[in-house]
Amino acid sequence: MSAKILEIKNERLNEKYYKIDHESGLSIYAFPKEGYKSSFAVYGADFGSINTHFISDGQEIISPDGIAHYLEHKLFESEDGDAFVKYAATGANANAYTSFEKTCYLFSCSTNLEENLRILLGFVNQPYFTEETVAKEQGIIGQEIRMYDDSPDWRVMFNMLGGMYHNHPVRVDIAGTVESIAEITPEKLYECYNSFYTPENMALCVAGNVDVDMLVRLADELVKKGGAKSVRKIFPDEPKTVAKKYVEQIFPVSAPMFYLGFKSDGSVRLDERKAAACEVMLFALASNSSALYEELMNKGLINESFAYEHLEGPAYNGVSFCGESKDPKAVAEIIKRYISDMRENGLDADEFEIAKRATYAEYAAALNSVAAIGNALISCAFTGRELFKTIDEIASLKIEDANEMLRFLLDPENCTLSVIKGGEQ
Amino acid sequence: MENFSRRELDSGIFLNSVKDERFKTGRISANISTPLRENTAAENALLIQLLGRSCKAYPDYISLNREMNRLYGASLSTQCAKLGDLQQLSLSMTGLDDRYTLNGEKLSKELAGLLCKMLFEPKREGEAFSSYDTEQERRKLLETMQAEINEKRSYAITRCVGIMCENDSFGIRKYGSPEQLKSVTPKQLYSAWQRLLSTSVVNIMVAGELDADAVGELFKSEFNKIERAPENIETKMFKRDDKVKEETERQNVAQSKLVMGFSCGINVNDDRVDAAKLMAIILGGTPSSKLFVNVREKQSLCYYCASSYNRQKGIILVDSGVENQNIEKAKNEILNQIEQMKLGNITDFEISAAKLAVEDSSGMVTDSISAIESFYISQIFENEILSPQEAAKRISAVTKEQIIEAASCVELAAVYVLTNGEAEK
Repeated sequence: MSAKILEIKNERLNEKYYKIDHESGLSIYAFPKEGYKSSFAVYGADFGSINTHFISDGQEIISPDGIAHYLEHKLFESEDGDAFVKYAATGANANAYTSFEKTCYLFSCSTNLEENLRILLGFVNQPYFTEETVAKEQGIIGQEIRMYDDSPDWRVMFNMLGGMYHNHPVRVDIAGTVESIAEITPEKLYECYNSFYTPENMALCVAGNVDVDMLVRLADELVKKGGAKSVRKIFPDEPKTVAKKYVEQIFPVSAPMFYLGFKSDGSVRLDERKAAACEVMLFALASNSSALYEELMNKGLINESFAYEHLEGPAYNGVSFCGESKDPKAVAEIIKRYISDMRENGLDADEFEIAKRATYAEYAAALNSVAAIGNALISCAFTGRELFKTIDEIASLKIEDANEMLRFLLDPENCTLSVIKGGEQ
Repeated sequence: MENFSRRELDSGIFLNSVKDERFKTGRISANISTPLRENTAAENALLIQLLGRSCKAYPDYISLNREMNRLYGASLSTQCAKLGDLQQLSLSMTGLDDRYTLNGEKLSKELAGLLCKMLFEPKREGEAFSSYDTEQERRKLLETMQAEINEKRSYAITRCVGIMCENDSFGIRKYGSPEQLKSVTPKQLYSAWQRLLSTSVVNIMVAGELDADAVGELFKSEFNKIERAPENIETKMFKRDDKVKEETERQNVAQSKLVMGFSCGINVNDDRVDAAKLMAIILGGTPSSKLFVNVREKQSLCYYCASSYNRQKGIILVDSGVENQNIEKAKNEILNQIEQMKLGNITDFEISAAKLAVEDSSGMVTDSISAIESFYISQIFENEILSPQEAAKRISAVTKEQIIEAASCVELAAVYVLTNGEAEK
């Protein structure tokens, strides 16, 4: 087979990587790090917990919640044994995860890269689901779900998502529920596998001590061109406003915890410049040197656990702030006041400059780590953004871009406060 | 690849530099070495936290965070560790490399300047540290100590070392005791600070492409103002008593802990040190090791069973988590595995798996700037300073006969058991 290879360079950071369009349809990203001994590889499908409704070759399919995560667990088993056992012999450190929008299988190593890639491509490309093996997993994943149900950190976040969204599946736990996974069968797993685990819908990203020719040779050997299915993901209509403004749960916790989520328009995916504007704006607004943080700290309303995050994926977009607080409602009021003020007057110019530098440096520093590069590349592969372009956009960002993003993402009237506090259940 | 150099700036003040152009960031650290003593351990541990919290120029978290974010999101951390008979206190700064700043700023000097301010111009109240800050950091350190007591695996190791080394300074806990910590005064911290600046051995470490000479000049001019009388910081080899020390502690634990301490009479000043390192890895350093395969997998006597070698002291520790009724059996089987090594019952597979693990981890060390820094900091106290690759190569060259010889030096010194005492014979 053959492949089209594109070199992508960044002069400022003196780095380059290769995007390889393999004939099978698979996108391969190779980021060689000169002088590095170790490597990180991640092989993923553009298929996450929110993709339970889709049309595959003209047929409409609705799968049980939690099926992407279930599939991830089951793929590690092949007819000839467990993938972890194979990795143990080569010394690689392997793992996998399922997020809202993708499923990824990864490892890191500093010897035996090619052998480890054979293991990785081997087990992901060879599903093996039987009634017996699928049933066996119900108990294990059921335990995992109960563990999440018992985790206040996890609950407080999903309670917020449940309050923000009326219909979008981002409101459902990634692992599903004990009831929903009981409906999973080998047929349903194959249905998802055959629709989404196709070369066109997957990416392989390798960073570190890696050679492009070796990757192409391996893909030639191990990735077969499938009869490409046409798959269309379907999302329910989602109102613009949040479903609930306030959600509360009682839990045995020593200090109350909160998540405050702002809902924005999820119909368009942000491009590189907008993604850059978002990162810098949030830093300027809420970093550990911002005026907002200072006021919250000085009033004793937050501690060092305070954090913020951009929540973005197919058909959803928003921002969350979280932490521990003796008075979450007061925290929410102060955050909303800062947002209203900045929507009107814009960000402080000094804070913006500081935020731009710090955000840029964070992206640059991530290029030290092969794992950080691999994970960034696979995110880019599925969002359609280009890694270096995002960094360049940060470096050249104007305060107007950040202010525009603030007004787009943060509406003080359209948010959900989720609180978990102690007491009797 | 990295390139190490070292020179003395002043009496007992050394500038160490690991030049490595591969990274986007650089690290500067001041590593203060002082003999670990019962009466000063707690105050030293608290002092380093205070030095990392604020300084005269940036007296609170907000002003310090703002300065660090202005310096491209630089980060600061402190550490208190035990290295042989030394208490090692470190203050480290990580920041963007000069080559990658947006407007050509030279951050090296500013980062080093800030680190000097933290170390030499702390926030003071006359001849004492700030009492508010002291209380805050004391609370945090007490929490850290409590967390270590709650973590039963590490607690059991600390207890075994304490019993084994009751007449050796290596038995002293790195943070001292909670009782001592509670009695430390802000005034006492001030004298500890003065004492350390004048009597400790200080290794400045610069890693990455930062301008090491400029950093050295700054520190040199600060130390010039101080009358120096550095203490001897040699570590003595551990010597076991004639009788094996044994102790059983009762606590409400679900899983018992068995920790065994051994002397091996081989330390960094001995040519056999590489053989001793490899011997300890074959014994219990990997999933292919004797303890893991035989004691855990084949006989199912414990949940984990691992060994570690302290090359400064010539000590080997074997720690395991066991069911109460298996404590005696596990102990005998661990001793049997060591006996087998003395008899030469070591397979080629065991040796090659251990060597592969060494090679693999040296590759990982080499690709992380913070791992490289810590690697060289531990090398400084050895007769010969090697790179991670050279160190791995030496271990690869060790023969089976040398492993057997190193094993023959291993003698039991202490046995510590933590159990709830149920199901005992």
